[in-house]
Amino acid sequence: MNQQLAITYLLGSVTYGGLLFLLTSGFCLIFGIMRVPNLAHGSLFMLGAYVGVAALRSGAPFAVALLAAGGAAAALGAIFEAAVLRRVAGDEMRQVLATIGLAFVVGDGILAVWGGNPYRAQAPLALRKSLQLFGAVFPAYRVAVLAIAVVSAALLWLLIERTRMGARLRAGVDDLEMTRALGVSAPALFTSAFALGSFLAGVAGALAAPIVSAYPGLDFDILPLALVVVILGGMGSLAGAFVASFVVGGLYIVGPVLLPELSYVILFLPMAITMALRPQGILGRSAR
Amino acid sequence: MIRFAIVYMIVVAAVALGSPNDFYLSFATRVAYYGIYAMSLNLLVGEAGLMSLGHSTFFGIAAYCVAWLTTHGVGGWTAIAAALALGTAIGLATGAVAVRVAGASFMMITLAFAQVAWGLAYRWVGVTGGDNGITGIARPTLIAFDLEKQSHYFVFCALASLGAILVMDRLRASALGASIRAARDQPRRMSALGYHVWAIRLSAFVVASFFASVAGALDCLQQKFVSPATMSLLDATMVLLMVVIGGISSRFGPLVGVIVVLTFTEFSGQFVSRPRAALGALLLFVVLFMPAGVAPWLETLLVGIKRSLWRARPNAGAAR
Repeated sequence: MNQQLAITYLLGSVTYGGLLFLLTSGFCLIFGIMRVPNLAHGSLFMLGAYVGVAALRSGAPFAVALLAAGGAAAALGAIFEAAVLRRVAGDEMRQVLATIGLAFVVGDGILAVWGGNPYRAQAPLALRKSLQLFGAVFPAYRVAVLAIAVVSAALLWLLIERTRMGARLRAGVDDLEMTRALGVSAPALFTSAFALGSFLAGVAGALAAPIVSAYPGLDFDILPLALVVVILGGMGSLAGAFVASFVVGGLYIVGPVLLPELSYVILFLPMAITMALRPQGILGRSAR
Repeated sequence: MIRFAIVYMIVVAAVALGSPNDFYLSFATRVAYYGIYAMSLNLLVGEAGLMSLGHSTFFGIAAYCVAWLTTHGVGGWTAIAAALALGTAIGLATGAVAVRVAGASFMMITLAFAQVAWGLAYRWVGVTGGDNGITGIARPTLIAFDLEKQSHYFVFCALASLGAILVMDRLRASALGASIRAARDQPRRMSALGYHVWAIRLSAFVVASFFASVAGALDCLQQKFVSPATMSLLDATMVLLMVVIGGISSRFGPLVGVIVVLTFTEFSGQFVSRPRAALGALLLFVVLFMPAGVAPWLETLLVGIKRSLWRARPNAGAAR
């Protein structure tokens, strides 16, 4: 493999890793505080992709499309949390089943609204050219995606480490009982965590849409990747998800080149190995 | 309670054999082997407290194994034996990793494994035929019975189902069954007492994957067709829904769930255009409004009827 190709793959991997991190950081937030693996997370990503494409097609600026996608996902997530999950709080099994139910309803709902054909939008005009990076040609849009992902990760870090809401979320993750005893409203905390996590999934979907295009089935194509990242990184650990996103992103881009028919399996290999050697994940704290 | 299983089978058989055409017979055949499938999942979900989102993996692997072998010149019975061995072996391998954790991690790992299996079936076109699946599967003959005849195949499946359900029920009542439940409720105390919780959970996982393979092999021979859909999350969820509707860890609840869900999916297609959304809505409904499932609800109903019948008789108290 020549050097240019290697750099192209490397950049591709890092971009994909950035997208995956946006998706899984939301998953981690929700899991960390509510102890619910949100299996509708892929559906929120898909909703974001469709809303993003629709907004771009109607001529909205890129930033508006991203916010609209995130907003739509956040609204759905918040409503679902308040209307369904809260009523079955404390019962892990039923909560997970509810998220699966939501995923099916959203999947078919999108199919009903936007039909079965892939729904595409082009990247914003300013980003449609290609860049010369380290001697390799690379689409400018992907570089922008990487930049947005990195900035979002930084913002997320600031939000969690430096704001009052972030402090509450962290406290809730560490010790929910004590946090509630200190006067933090648990329902508000849960709803805001779910809304924020859904927002991130929606934004990731809209960012990914010009690359992968929105299509039916995107939800359960992307969900396993999020699961692998989360298991690899350690359940509920944002730092672990950050590291694992780039590992999985790399495998996703390079795997099909090396072993086309088994590319899907390669993705899950590191997860199986991690599970066998270190069940709590790379940066996970405890094996529950 | 064994009576329940037998009565259940008789009801299913009566419906099937009294039916005007093969449609209901096929439906009843599916009820029979889905009973094995749902009961095997209940062994994990209800007894071991491990909510598997990937139980369709073993069902699908066995189905693919039977399909591939029989279309490549291997005899039907050999193919079935190989399918059961393969499904159980893969259950052992994936279970060894998955049961190291419980709770949410277990769900996610089993789901991830299931997606690998689905991805293989979907993309390994050379072996699995990809999205088109494998067709042209023939049923074997059993002594004098030609299983190609639907009524013969139904009786075969019903007997297999009855046998499997009774074996699983025996397991539940055995010492191993007790330790599986204990490992669910008090894993730390169990390991403090010297029990190997991992091994106990793994044995439940392997037994469950064996019976799921049985159901998968029977499904392949019933449909004479196998496609990646058998391993999809939709199908995995459908079985889970059967268990949940029937009532998690109720003894024969999953069998009730099988009838409810199969009837729903079979006939909802006539009324709604989007079966997946309908299943999702049913799932949400059950989660929100039927926490314990249908079977316990039925049980209290039956007890209530019994009581009111007793009360109707003047010397009910003395009779007891």
